Amino acid sequence: MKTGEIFVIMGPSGCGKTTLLRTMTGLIEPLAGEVRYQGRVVKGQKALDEYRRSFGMVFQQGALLNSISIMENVALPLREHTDLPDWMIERVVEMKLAQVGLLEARNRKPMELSGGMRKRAGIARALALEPALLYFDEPSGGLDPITADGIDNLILSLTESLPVTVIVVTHELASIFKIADRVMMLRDGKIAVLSTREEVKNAKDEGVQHFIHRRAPAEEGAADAFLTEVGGGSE
Amino acid sequence: MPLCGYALAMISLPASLDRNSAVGLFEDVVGLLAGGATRVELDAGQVRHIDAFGAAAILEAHGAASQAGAEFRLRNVSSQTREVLALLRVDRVLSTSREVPAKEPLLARIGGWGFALTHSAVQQAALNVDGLFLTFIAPFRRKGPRVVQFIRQLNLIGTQATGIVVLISFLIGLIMALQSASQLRQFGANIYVADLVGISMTRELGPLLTAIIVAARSGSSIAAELGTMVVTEEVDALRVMGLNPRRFLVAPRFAAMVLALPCLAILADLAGITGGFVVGVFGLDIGANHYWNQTITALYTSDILSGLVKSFVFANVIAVVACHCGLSLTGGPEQVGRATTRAVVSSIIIVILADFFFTSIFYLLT
Repeated sequence: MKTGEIFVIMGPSGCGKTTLLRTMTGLIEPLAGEVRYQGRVVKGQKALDEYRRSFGMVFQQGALLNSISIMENVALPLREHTDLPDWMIERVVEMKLAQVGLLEARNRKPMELSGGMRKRAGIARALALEPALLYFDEPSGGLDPITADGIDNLILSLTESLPVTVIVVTHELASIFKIADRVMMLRDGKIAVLSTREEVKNAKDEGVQHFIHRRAPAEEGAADAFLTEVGGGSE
Repeated sequence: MPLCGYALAMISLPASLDRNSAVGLFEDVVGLLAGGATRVELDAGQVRHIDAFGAAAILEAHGAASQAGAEFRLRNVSSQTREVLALLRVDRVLSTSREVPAKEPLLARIGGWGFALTHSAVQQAALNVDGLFLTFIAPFRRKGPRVVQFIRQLNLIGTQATGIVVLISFLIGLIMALQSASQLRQFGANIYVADLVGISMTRELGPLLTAIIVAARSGSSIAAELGTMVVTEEVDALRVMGLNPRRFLVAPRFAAMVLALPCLAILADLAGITGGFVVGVFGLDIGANHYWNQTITALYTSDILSGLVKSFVFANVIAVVACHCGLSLTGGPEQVGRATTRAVVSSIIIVILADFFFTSIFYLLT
């Protein structure tokens, strides 16, 4: 991963994108191989805790704690991982919420927000500790095109203004070709292509072309074997 | 319609092979096979419309013929019929239906259940140890449960359950006194209603009733709440923020449960004794002071303490089982209901087993 880039992991449903993301964030243990961050292997609870404090993650549905307000959600990592005074935490949280356009909704509970707003609140929470690395799981998933574009713009503005590296898992083509610096396509749990977005557009790989041009591979002859078996000739 | 029977059976398929005609076709084929046909031929020459029901009938007829050892033929298939059969992926349906599902040997299944049960028991034991640590030791290291959450849970599990616990215990006290009075009256021993109600409530029924009410009321709520948090990835969000879900989610509920349940059990004891008192004083004409003194004389501190020990253990069981069922949930939202049911059923069974164990121990000791 290059520092400051937006790296997109794409691929069809079931190809292993989410499994890879969950492995990278330490939610599941890799069956083989290892997770490395800044040259060090992330192994053991202590290393995992340290690693987790250096990144933020935005979940598909926001994954905010429903029992507390948006402000408390964003403040949670600050309260738990720092000894900052309350006034400082409040100001930082307000700034993070303002950054994602949710300052006015700070006292509302997650269930009172729309899908796009919850995702923005999730971004504010992920940014709370000023992480060097941000993971996004399907940032535009389930959103209307305009709200999705707003999230894309927000991701772009983050990398422009902050020293942050972004890893996005998605299969939304419009998002991919708008925000990605580099793209990795997975197929059947393996890397099919890893390149810049322009090179991926022109990749020769048939699976990649099917994916980016939204073409489902045709299934032919699905009745031939049966008809041959029962001698089903033409009229 | 079948054209001839016996060795060769030929059926001319109707122009429209759909929901109305498909079942009839299959029954015709089965009838011919039962009549001894060794070759079945379906003529699709007249078919102008075929849908999934028609295709299903053809596949089933084919299967029935194969099973009967008869030859099956489908003739004069038009390109349109062929397209529909291809669209319905009959090849894949046929090959899937021929796959014999691998059946796990009984011994392997028993081993699997044993492993799952052991794994679950170990996880729950670890959860219990964590709960005890986070409740009784961690607060002294400033890493205990979150105070706000703890108070919220204490209110949900304890305060809000007070009414129902008191009401049910009072009614049980009334019922026990009435039932025992009808027997004791025959021996002129009405006054011993006070002994019976007092001892039964403090040693047994107070803690047990309270545990069952709390398991049904709060155990289900805890399992559902935590299960929903798993489904909505809130638990994963805590983990990736480097926050321990056990400290955040389990500890406040565990601590509230082990504090609230013994308190509720004491209230249940008092309510049950009051129920007996009402029957004794107003129904059996025992003097109020006499009844009260008899109850105090009958009860030992050990009766009340044994009830409280039981309550503490029951609280451990309910909190651990409910939290485990919620947090170990896999799958979608539909699993939340199942986890809730499992939490209530399992915790009630374990509570009653634990009660039996403790009662046996106390009986042997005394």
